Amino acid sequence: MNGLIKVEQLQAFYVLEAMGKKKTVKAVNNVSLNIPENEIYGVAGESGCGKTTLLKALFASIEPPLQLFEGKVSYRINGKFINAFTLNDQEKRELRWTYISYIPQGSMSVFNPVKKLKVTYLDFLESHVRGKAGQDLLSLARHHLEKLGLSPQVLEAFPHQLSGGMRQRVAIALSTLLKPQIILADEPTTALDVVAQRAVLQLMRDIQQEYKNTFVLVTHDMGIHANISTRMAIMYAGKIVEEGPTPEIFSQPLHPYTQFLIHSLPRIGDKTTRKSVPGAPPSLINPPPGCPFHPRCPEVTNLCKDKMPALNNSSEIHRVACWLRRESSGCHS
Amino acid sequence: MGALRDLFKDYRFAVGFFLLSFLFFLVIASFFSPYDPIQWLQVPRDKPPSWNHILGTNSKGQDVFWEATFAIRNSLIIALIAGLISRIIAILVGFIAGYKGGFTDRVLMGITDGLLVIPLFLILVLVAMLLREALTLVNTGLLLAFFGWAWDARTIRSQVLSLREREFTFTSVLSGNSTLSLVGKEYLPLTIPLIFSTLINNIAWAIGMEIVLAILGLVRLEIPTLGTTLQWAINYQAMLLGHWWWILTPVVLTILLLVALYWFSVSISEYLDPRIRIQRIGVK
Amino acid sequence: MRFFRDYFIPRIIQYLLVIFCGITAVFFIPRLTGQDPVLETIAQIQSQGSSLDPTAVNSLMGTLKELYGLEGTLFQQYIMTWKRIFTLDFGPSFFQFPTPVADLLKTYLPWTIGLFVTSTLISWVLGNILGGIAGYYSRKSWSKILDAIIMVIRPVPHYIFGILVLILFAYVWQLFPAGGMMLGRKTVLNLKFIMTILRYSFLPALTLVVLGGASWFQQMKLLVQNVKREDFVQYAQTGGVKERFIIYRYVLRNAMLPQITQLALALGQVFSGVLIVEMVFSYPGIGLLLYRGVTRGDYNLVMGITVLSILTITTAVLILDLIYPLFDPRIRHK
Repeated sequence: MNGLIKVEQLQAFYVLEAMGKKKTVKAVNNVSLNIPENEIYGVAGESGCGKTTLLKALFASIEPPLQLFEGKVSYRINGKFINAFTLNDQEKRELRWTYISYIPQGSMSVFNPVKKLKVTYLDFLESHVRGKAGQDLLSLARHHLEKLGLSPQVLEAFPHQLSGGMRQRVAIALSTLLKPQIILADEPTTALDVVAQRAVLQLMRDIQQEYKNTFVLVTHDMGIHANISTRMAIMYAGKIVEEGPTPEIFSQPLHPYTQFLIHSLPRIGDKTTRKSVPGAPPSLINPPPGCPFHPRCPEVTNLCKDKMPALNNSSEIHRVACWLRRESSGCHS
Repeated sequence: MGALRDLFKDYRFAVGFFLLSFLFFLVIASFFSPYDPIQWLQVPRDKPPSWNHILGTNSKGQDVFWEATFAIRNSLIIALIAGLISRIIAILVGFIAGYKGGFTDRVLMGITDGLLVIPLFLILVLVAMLLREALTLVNTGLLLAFFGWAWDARTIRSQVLSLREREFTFTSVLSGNSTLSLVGKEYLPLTIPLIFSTLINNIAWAIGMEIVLAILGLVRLEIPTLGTTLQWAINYQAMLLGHWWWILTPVVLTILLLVALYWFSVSISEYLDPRIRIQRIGVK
Repeated sequence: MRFFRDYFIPRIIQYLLVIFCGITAVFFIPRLTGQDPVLETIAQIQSQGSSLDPTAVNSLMGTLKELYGLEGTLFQQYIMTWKRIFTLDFGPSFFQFPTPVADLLKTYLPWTIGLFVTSTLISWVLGNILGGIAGYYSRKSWSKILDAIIMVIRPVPHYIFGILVLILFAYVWQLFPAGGMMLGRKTVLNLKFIMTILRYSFLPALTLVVLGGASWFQQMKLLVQNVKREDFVQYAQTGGVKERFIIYRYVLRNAMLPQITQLALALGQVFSGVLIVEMVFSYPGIGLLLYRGVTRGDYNLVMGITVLSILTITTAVLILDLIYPLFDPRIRHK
């Protein structure tokens, strides 16, 4: 399948200095991924496992205290792969919103409180589209909103006049306005009620089907992944431990951590007690040696404590990083 | 002591600290002055700076340098009295209003706000006019204290309000601690940085106000303070007559003192402010 | 219309209440000192050289008592005070007898208002814009250098800074007059007169703008450093919105709002600063009048100035309060 973004051996750490002591938080620790096109690519994992940092890296937005230690992130532009970190500020600015866009966490407060929404929309548009008058750009915006099933009247409002869910959807509309090929979404449904959540997810699905672009959806909520992600990566302690098509991840989870995640989900009709993962996520400042999951893994062996398993191809499409699943055979259909 | 080392990295703290030490040294020197601060005609008049008199002499026949040491000392005494006493009032009002809330709070804040919008300066002047003769060092300090607590009472009250909403308040109250012990043992230590910075600001304000009162002739002019020495210099046309040493001394000393106090207080309160500390951590 | 009821009315009531409390305070506080202004004034006269025989002193005391509104019981005095305020009758000035204080105020007040309004506006706007940009680019060296300079200027009190400016610009480099603009000249609207005003007002205005601007600069810089980290600013930066837009429409525009509130709270102090600066430069405003009144023990004059100042400042604060919704849509809508 065609990769849109290539992540190669990425290491991005936070370097903090206080009172003369230095601490390094290994948020993204040697991650290699291929983000395909025309997918809703989900990234799952507990809070603090490095998902948001991964998104920042994908967006090429690495600023102190976050530092790039190793690896690269490459965008496929016009058929060629370009290392995102070699781009200067101007080039990055031009790519944003036209090639890749970002829906941050807590999109409820991303709009300028003292300006009407249409002014914010215009700000974004005018910064990327040259040669068009304000009026034309606004009608573009209204058209886009209508297509997504949102009322264009929203633009005439101030942010505080809309509900949280509505603002989230307006933010999603804004991020897709210039038809970018990749949209990174960080917890787009947290802090929304169930009804609003559904509307937001539906909107994302509609956009994806209409424009055939790729969403990278980060959330700890496995239910959401089950709902709309087509392909998933499971992240733990800064590393990717499993990756594959969503139906397979859910029906045949390979990594012990993934197995715990899936089996902890309630199912209608199944009344057995749910078990959650024992223990607590490790510190990213001093991650345990070898496989980061080994302190909590029920199948741990001595090799696990020593060496980190690579994300191998148990098949091309379903990969897992675990010593005990090395001999998984065959293709999954 | 790591804290002290960190503080000295801030140029503002270092400069403020050294300036204040220098001025404090001058204050100590005043106790060893060979001249009486109040007597006139102790030395030849209007002499420019020389080895005998490093800052020259003034038209009253006094040594400018030694007069200045007394001036700094007296201004500081007034300002300290004003600052400390107004702290007591501000803390009382701020804490009671912040903790009790409700009607007490509204009444206290009504009074405070009223005092804030009214040009305090003018009422201060009015009262000083009436108290003219009685305005010794101590009384001037008390007068300034009476008018200087309003702003800081408000600031302290906001701090207390936010402390009241924190969890440890509920735990303390639920475990049966008396209000006094909660306020005394828990709130007070947490508000000390704030109180300290308002103290320094208040002292600076008092020094400035004393100068204005002196110019208006409302302070006992025989007592040398930064304000009175300036007033004498202006009265005797030091500018026109070219006696720059007489008029510049209180001006420069005041600027040094106030800049030093300001830098000292800003660097300390920024150091203690958690938000700015976090900013410092992430960025090198 | 509901907006008017919810927003305007409480503020107007508060305005009237503050005036009431202020005047009451001005009434009571001097009386609390236990000093008798009549005796004080007589002591002043005698200390300035003239001696009076007992009968003269007595009749003088009677006149003064009446002039100062000190006749009758406390309650009668209080009502009298309010009556006089409504008729703007502050009694005659003692040392410019028999000119009524009100006349003096009328002549000198416009100059102060002019200086007050222009210098406050300029210092607020300049200080905030400079402070805002410096806050946005807080890591750049020019921002740090500017900050250091302002750190030296800000703590200096008005009188001292004024003297410094006076010495520098009027004595050392004799660029501007050292004050003493004559009052009583016919205010003609010709170029020569306007130039004269500018020449005499420049130094006091400069002092006020620099000192005031320094204070706004620092507050705004701090404010902007916080606003910069707000979600909506980060989002605009993520989205590649032009930096020019971000600075003005997102950061400054939002940081300006608390600064308007701060201005309202600081107006009392700003006004006091204007009066003090007027004294340094002998600028023909209320400050100079105050100086003359205090040094000559003119109690009525000082009282009149105090009452007038209370009215002026509270009105200015009310105006600011009423303008605020124009800038903050969150108050305007719902």
